[in-house]
Amino acid sequence: MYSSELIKGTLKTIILKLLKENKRMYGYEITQKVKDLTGNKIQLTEGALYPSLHALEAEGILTTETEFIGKRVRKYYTLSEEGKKRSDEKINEFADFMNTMRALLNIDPQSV
Amino acid sequence: MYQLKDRHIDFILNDISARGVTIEDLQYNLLDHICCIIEKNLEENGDFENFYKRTVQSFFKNDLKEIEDETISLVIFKHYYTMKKIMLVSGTVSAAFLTIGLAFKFMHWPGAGMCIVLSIGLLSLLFLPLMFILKIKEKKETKDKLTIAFGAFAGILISLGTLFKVMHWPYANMMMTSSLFITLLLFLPFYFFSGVRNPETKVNTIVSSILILSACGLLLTLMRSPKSSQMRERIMTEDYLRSQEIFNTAYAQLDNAKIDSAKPEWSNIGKNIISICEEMKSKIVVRETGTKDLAKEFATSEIVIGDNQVIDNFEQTQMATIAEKLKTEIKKYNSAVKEGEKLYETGMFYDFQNGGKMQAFSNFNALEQLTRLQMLVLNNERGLVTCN
Repeated sequence: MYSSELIKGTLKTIILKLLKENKRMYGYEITQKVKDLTGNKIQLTEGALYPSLHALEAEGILTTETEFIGKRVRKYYTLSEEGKKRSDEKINEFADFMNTMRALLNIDPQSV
Repeated sequence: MYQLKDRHIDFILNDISARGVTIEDLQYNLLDHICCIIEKNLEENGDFENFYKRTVQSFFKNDLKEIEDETISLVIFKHYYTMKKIMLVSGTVSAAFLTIGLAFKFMHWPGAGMCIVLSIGLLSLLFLPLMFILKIKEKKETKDKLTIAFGAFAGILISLGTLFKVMHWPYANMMMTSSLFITLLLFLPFYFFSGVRNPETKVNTIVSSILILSACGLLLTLMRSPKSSQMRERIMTEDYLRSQEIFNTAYAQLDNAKIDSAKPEWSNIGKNIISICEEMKSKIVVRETGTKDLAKEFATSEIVIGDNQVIDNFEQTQMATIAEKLKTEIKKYNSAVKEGEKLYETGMFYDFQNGGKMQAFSNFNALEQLTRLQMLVLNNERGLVTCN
């Protein structure tokens, strides 16, 4: 597990990237997918995920559709047109950031 | 895999909202999330309640409401930059309009009023509220939040008060006075005591407090106190009653003189004008004081005429119709009399259609203008009596 500060800064990038590849996901699905992809190293907390999802929705980056599962409602998130653009930007920005950090902290790629 | 029944769903949803999550979307998201976890991880004959409790507890540090609070603050934060931009733009536009409006006002150019109204409207309804929202988010302590709230409220009140004042809307003075008192009695103490304790802000706080105190003090000094307003109204009412008395006496004397058949009779138009003026005066007085016999009420219960705009009388008392009648009569009168005996046709308080400004006239101005008209007619009539 990484510290919550590290996750917080990258949470949006993670959400946007996942939605870009999977088109339509709901909250629980996102946490499971992240867990699987990272071999349990990143576990998104509900307290961080949902506020971010709502904020991205309010910003117009995500659109939602709801489906009834019996008595309960499931909210599916999809990238909006704006979100697709933003997804690439975020990933590029983060890649650039990683390179900078690597240089800054003098991390040798082989040793990682 | 555990099979969730409807009653489980209701139970979870109730519990979520009982824990303080009120945003419906968020409730459903959490409900679905919890249901997924339970369905996946609880064996078929497992203990639902126990498992649910443990699950929901893993969602937060202190209570579930944290998630909602975080959501709200993130959603608002999204608008932070937009709000900041709108605040800056509205502030700049407001300042620009105010400058232009004031320049126009001093030059007596048209459009000044619109610029000023627009500027003050933007300032008090957009700029100040936005500044308040953005500032209050930066502060953590309640007393800092209160300071900002009082400051913003007083600011909005004083700028709206100014707007009301220039537009001649009611309660302007009350708004301005109360905003000054809020500043002095609520904002200033909070501001002073929270700032003066911090060594870094101490000097600044003292200086700013002195500036605020003196600015409010100076404004309050300029304001007429309720007592002096009353005194002024008393004096002006007495003045009006005196000239009314003088006119009445003179009128009665002349009327008596005219009984003598050798003297010329009252000109009909003249008499008409006098009675129309009397009607208008009585309408103004009755509307302002509620009494028909002001002389008596003034002597016994100190009832006075308010120093208000006469324009307020126009809508409620069909004054405009009577004023039209007066205007026609005056025109008729002026075409009949010789030069030097003509009555004033312009600059009268009711003559606002001909470029006059109603706002410039108070009740007292109007009453005096009407009495003067009557006196002029009387004077002309008296001239006829003495000449013959």
